[in-house]
Amino acid sequence: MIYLPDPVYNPNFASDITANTQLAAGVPIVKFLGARGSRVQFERIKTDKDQLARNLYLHAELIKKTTANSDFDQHRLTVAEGVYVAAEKETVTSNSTNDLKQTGRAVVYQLYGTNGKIDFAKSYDLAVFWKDYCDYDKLILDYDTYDPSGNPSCQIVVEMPNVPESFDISFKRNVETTFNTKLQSKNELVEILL
Amino acid sequence: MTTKEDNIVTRIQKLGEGQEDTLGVPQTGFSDASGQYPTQDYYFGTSTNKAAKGETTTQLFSGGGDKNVSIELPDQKPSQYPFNQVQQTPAGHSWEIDDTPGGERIIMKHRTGAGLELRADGSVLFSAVNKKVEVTGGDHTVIVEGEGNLVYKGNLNVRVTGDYNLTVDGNINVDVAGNKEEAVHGSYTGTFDNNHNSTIKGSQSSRVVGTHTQTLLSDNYVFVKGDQNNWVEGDVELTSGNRLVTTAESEWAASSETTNITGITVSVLGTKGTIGGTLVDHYGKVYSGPPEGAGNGGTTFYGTLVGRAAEAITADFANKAGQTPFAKYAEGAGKAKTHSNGSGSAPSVKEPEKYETIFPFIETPPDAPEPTTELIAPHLAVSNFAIRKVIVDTDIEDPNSLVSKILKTDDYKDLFDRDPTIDEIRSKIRDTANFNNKEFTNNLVAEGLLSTDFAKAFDGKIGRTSNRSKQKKFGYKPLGNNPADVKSKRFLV
Repeated sequence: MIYLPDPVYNPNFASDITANTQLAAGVPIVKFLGARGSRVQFERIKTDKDQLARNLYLHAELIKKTTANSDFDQHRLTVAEGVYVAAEKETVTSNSTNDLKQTGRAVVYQLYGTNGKIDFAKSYDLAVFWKDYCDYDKLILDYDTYDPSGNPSCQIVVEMPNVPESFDISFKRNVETTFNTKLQSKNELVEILL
Repeated sequence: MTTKEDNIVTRIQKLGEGQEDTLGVPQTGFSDASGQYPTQDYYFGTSTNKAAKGETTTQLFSGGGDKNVSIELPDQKPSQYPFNQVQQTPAGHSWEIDDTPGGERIIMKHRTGAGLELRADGSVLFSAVNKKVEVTGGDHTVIVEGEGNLVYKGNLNVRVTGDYNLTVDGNINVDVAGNKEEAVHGSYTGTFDNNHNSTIKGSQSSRVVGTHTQTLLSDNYVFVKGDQNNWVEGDVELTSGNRLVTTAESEWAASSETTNITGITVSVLGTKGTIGGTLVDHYGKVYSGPPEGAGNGGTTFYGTLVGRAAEAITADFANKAGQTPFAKYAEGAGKAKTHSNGSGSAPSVKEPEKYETIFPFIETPPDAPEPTTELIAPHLAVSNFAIRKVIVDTDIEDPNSLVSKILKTDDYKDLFDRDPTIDEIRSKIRDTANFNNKEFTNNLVAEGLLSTDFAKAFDGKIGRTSNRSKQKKFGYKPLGNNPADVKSKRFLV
């Protein structure tokens, strides 16, 4: 299908793609660069910048839809892992999430409550909201116990299709739930109680 | 009741006054003539504002906190009727002055959620859903008795046209993921009351147009694992107040068109080599060497020797020669191969002309010990002048261990060059190849950066589930005009 981007924020119309290029109102590209999990500078990204901007545009739409939803107005949607730049000697597994993060196709989000902590229940609600109301290739509700402090974590991985200049794209709309990288359910979002 | 949609003048003009008068009259009595009220939330109930009765609590948009940044305010006690005075417009703006005991607050809310809230405990919440602009014509003073957190998800530009004075009574911690650039158009002065340590994992370079002066009031150590090159176009002066020792394990070379080595006591020792040149004068007290003779490894002089020699292959003048193949004048010769009168025995000859010696022969044995291999070897190995062994990275097995320790590339298998945060680790091990890299994850666990439970299988409880297909649900906003339909309508998006 032909996706119709907002002409004001259509990256195809931008004269020059920079870190400050707005992809939606209040959503510049830099929002996907300063993520805690993958802090990177725009000039270090090797991906074609136009392609990167078009891919991230879909994520900006996702963010915009979320912030417009009053159900989440007491929560902050944060980009936990944005554009990924591999280490010098790192070999990124092809088509892995990190591979897709390199081109802006995949972004990892976290939802924080007013107390500055991840709201697990609301994260599930958000995943369900995205599943029902948004477009994506794959949605992964991801839980883990990586933090040595003992605090579990929850994030939502959203993978988008590669966006050509024509914006002719289709969405696979697959969903998964993972725990410590291990698949817990396919085609189903499961709220894990930690 | 007038509403924002009322335009009675237009309707009267369009419909006529009579029709307009009858249209606005509801058939059921005390209903809203405009049809806007009651709103969906107030069906089948009293029209008293729910916020006034404490059934709902008006909240501003907060957008949530951020990681480790809490904006949580104390819970607001629900309002009690009739303490809360509520004004709410059809668009959704509201203005509440609440005198509920223990829950006193004032809130001014825009329909978008933006607004100002003064809470019961004295907290003030200011929320801007979109831009926030502050303009101060005069001075601006902020005094905060507690902590502060600033999180900007985009760029932050600060411009100070005057001086920028920053006083920190504690520490300053700066963590820059990218580059840091400073341009100081005037002078830069830094004073460190204690130590100044820096670790540079890449290269360091500095360019100084003027003079570079470094004053060290204690010791100075420079350890170089690779080469050190000093290229100076002008003079170089290396001066020591005490000893100056230069050693090299392989070769030490000093060359110049004019080379001077001067000392009260000078020693140039070696087991082999060359000293001198075509036009070099040698001054000294004693020249000594092995006596084996020319061609046998002994000391040999070529050229003209003025003085006395115990043995000489050829001597123009010799007062005494034990054996000479050719002697022009000999006072006494036990045996001569040839002589002027041709007889087989030494003839009696005329008293030869006595040649005066130019230098009197005084036997002067050398003061210093002979520089033999036995003397020089320990001299180079264990004396004060011994060649220093240079090892910068002392780990013999891994000559780059120090580099690895600094870069941490070995610890983290080239995936990190510093201690990562848990967020960075999570991002990295999202790639299963990294997750399954045992050495990598074990090191992270050993460093205490990754939980020992990182690979734990799920054994807990699950809550809600939702399958892939879109779910039927109540809408977030009502559709349609029939109140009863709206209340019960289910729809798919």
